[in-house]
Amino acid sequence: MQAFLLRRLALTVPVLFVVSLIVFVLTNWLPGDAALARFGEEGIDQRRYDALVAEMGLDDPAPVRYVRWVADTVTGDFGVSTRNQQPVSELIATRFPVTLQLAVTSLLVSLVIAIPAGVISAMRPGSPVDKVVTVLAVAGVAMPSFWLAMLLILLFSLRLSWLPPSGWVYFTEDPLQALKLLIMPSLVLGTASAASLMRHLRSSLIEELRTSYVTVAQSKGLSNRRVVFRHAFKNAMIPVVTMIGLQIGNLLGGSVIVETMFGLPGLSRATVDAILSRDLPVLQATVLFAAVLVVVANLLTDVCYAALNPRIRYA
Amino acid sequence: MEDTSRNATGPTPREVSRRTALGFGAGTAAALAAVGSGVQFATAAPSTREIAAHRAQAAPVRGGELVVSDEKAIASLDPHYESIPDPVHGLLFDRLIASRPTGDEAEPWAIEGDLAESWAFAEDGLSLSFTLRQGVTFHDGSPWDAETAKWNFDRIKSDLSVLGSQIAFVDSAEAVDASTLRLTFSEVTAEPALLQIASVSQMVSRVAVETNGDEAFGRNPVGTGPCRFVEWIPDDSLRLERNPDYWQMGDDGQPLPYFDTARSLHAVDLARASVELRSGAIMAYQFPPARDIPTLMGDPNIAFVTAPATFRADLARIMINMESEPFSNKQLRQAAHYALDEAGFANAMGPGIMEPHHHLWWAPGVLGYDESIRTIGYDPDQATALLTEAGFPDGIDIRLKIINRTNDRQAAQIIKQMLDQVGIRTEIEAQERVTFNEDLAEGLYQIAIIGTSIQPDPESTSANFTTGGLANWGKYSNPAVDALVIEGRQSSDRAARAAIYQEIQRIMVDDAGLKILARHPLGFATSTRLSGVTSVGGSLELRFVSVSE
Amino acid sequence: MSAPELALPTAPSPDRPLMNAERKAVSLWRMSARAFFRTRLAPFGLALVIVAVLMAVLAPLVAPYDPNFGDFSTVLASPSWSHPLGTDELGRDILSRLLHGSTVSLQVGFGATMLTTFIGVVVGISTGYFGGWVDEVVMRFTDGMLAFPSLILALAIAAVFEPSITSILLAIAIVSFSTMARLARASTLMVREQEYIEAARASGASTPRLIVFHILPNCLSPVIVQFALLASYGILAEASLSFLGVGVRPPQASWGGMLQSGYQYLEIAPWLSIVPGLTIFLTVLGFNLVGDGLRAAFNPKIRGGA
Repeated sequence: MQAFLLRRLALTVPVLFVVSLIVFVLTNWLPGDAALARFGEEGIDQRRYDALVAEMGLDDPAPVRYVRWVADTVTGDFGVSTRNQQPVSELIATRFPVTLQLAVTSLLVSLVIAIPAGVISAMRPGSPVDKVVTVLAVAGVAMPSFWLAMLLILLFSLRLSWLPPSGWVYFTEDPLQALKLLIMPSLVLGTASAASLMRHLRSSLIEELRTSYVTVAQSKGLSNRRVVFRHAFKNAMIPVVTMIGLQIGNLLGGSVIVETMFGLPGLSRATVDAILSRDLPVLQATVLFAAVLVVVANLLTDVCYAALNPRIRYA
Repeated sequence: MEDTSRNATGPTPREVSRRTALGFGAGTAAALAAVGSGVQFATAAPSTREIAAHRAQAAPVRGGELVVSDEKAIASLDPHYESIPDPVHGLLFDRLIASRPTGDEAEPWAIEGDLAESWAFAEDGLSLSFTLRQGVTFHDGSPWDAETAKWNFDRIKSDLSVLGSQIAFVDSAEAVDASTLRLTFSEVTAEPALLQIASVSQMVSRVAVETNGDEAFGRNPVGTGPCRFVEWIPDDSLRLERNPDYWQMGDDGQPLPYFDTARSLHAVDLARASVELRSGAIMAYQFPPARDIPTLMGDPNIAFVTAPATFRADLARIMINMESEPFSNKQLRQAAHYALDEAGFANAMGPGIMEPHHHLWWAPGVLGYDESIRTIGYDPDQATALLTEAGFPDGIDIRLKIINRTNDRQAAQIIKQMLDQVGIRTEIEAQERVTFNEDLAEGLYQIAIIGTSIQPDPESTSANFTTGGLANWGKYSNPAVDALVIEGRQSSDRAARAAIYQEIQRIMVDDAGLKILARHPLGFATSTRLSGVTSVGGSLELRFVSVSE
Repeated sequence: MSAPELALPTAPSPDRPLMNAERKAVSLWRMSARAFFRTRLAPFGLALVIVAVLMAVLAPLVAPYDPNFGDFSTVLASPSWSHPLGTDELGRDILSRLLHGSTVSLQVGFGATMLTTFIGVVVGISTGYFGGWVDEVVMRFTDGMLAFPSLILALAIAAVFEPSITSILLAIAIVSFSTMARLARASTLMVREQEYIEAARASGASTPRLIVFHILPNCLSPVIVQFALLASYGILAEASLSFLGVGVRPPQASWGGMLQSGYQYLEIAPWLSIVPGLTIFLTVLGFNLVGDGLRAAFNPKIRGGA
């Protein structure tokens, strides 16, 4: 196990190196630069543009900027946003909790929907309940998140005026309002993963219920419900773990649309803004951060597999 | 309430001119002459009742939180280094002078002194002296004085400043004594220049900038305004609190502002803002697009407040690159003009709200407006005929550049359809803003569209069409126009200025490089819970606002 | 771009390779076809896909209006006899735009899938077959790509180019070829060591011949399963990118673009957002169901369960 962990950790170094190269090449490939991005509707002032280019160090050659960036990043200096002078570490520290909070609530939503639904349909495969759940799950996976978001906004904000259409407050500030603001985004993000999680949970539970040790347990006279929860469930949790791992890995990419539509000041939106404003320090740092998340999530997923199912062995 | 009550803090023994009326109204000739003479040496003390009446608060409510939203995200809170559209941000700072509506139909706008009490041009027109308000301090306790004012103008003129080019005619600033600031001009300059000075004149704390540096100041701004900075979360929100030591008095005899705290939500797109306003989550936002205005006006809890003689042309500014092929041919530019249906565009972009527009940056109420000086109007047959005459009977293929945003795409598709129909086959090239900026700055375009706004005095909009003008996206350039704009700035005679601007319009119409298709009133959507809403330089002014339950 | 459904079956980490790839080709096809049609939802999905394809093919014939011509006097008209689905903010017929928009979605859906599959299979087979340092480098590169937030990468790529079908195709292919490459590589690795390959090699078969006639067919089944899912991913990705504003060049109709501009009028003209959204939903649903059917058909382990 330890050797396996070390090997996986060692693998992350080249992955991060590749990611850093991709980020850098891609961002430098983007037409225009951060200085130009500072000008809006009011027009472009050449004199100020030149001053900004010099100030931002944009006139250095690309390799120089790459080496400078890697060196700074390794020493823990993520730089300062070229768009609004905010230190990048501060930006991540304020933006990431928003994205994380959204991820946690949407994960909760998906677990609350998926686990009961998956268990019920796995216990009676082919029953009407199972069929309904299966159809809903199939539909949930195919639902475009932005369309679901629109429908929710149309219904709950515009027609019924029950929920605010967008905005953000921290739980610590105003718990009720925070909850209200999180309901729709969490539903949107949670639905897709609930549907897919439910399907995997169902099929792996069905598989488990067929295996010999469950049959033995049943023959010993344990009730179906106890069998499910005592024995099969633990193994069936593997897809759940996979899902959580993937969600952590997909935190940034997954919530772009939801953060945009519901006006949440999360890390995904910061990354998209950084693309549009050619804010290289922010873009590079957030994407690298996301990559680290993916790597860590994969690692944790594998560790959980081992804990859940001792039969899984690592070379 | 008497307006003078607001000046109670300032030791103002000789309250000469808190405001200079520029009289932008389309009044009678006599009225124009009267205003002209009144303006000349800024000694008139016009009635301030109109302003007071306009912002009148029968019984202003104290307390509460003011919440507004703005479409854009802000890059910095430094008003010199970034152009900041957020009206809440404006509460942090005072201007030296400010252009606000008077509530008087004949003279709807006037220059008011905020941090300056009075001002006077030198006889030779080469300098302007301001007498500064005394006893004002910045939020960090440092005093407001002439040295600070001079330092501010030097900063505004520096390379990194976003404002410098607006006051290119100002050569230098000097502190004559502790309460007198003198601006020296590079050329003879008169009243109209006050508008440009007003628009750049937000004063920041020198001590704060010098102690913490420019960048830190942009994240922790210090001014003399009615509110103090509390917190800024970039791309999210700005929070301010009431400045208890503010110099200006409210109508109840206590210092402004009436509200306790103010919050601005950033990067809230306009579609969302409309919903948020109606749900009560916010209380105001600026410049709703034409399509939202009918819905807003239909809501009894919402007021659509407009500022006099100001208009917005949502994506209705067409720029034809006169240097590009094939549009170096004037006939083809004219053909493009003939293809554009102002009424069709207005109806598609904002049914019932947008009006067809035929006059570049002039509209009723704007100085120099003349109904008869029209840009080329819709006449598709004439367009086809001109194409043939220019040697292109089979039409031409061109590219239309826009910023890749929802509304811009909408406008572009309308214009494409109109041009297509006469044989100017158009392909839309929707670019990211950065690329669009780059291409337009380098003149790499044939036709491009972008929005613009129309102000009561053409001096305020001249940057749209003078050579090197900041807002001159299309790089329109005609030395004759440039010379006339300077002439207009140097004259305080309204009748003479009106003639100058009419001449400018004739030249520009003849060049056929620019066209504005439609306009609607520039305004603010506010909750009826707010009273005392007014405007500063055409933007939302919140400092006199009170929030009722 | 909801990645989870795509990522679950297709992103095996190096430690969890996909199972059974080899099977006798002929009997496999017949068995699979039977299994595909036995699942009840797959034919329904196929029907949805066929409808979408028909829409695209027949659009020029059946669309009642020019999809790009706006009648500025009837903007935002609600559904009526002359405009069964109403008109949009420029007075264009929504039904006609919907029909024509299917071309973009399907072009992107199929095109991205082909491109992704082609790049993925070529990269996967060649690295898997030849191994060595090229394999190392390419695999580290795909690791990097997989760790990259895909929608953000696609947005950045789309931002580099002008909005067009090609740039969206490229963006999607670049983002998603890694998983395909890994699938093909895993299958290749497994097949490479099989006895019949050894035998073929011993009997003097050339390397290209070995790859085309022996390795490639054996990699196909996971790739085919992936195919339908990739198509639905492509359609969703196009819609997402259009929704974020980096779609096709206006005035060309695309479902994502229609949804995006319709969103501005959600309150006063909700049909503008509901209609294209529903269409995207049904088409993606169709491809997903076909994908499920294919998975059941090609993977006997799931066949029993679903």
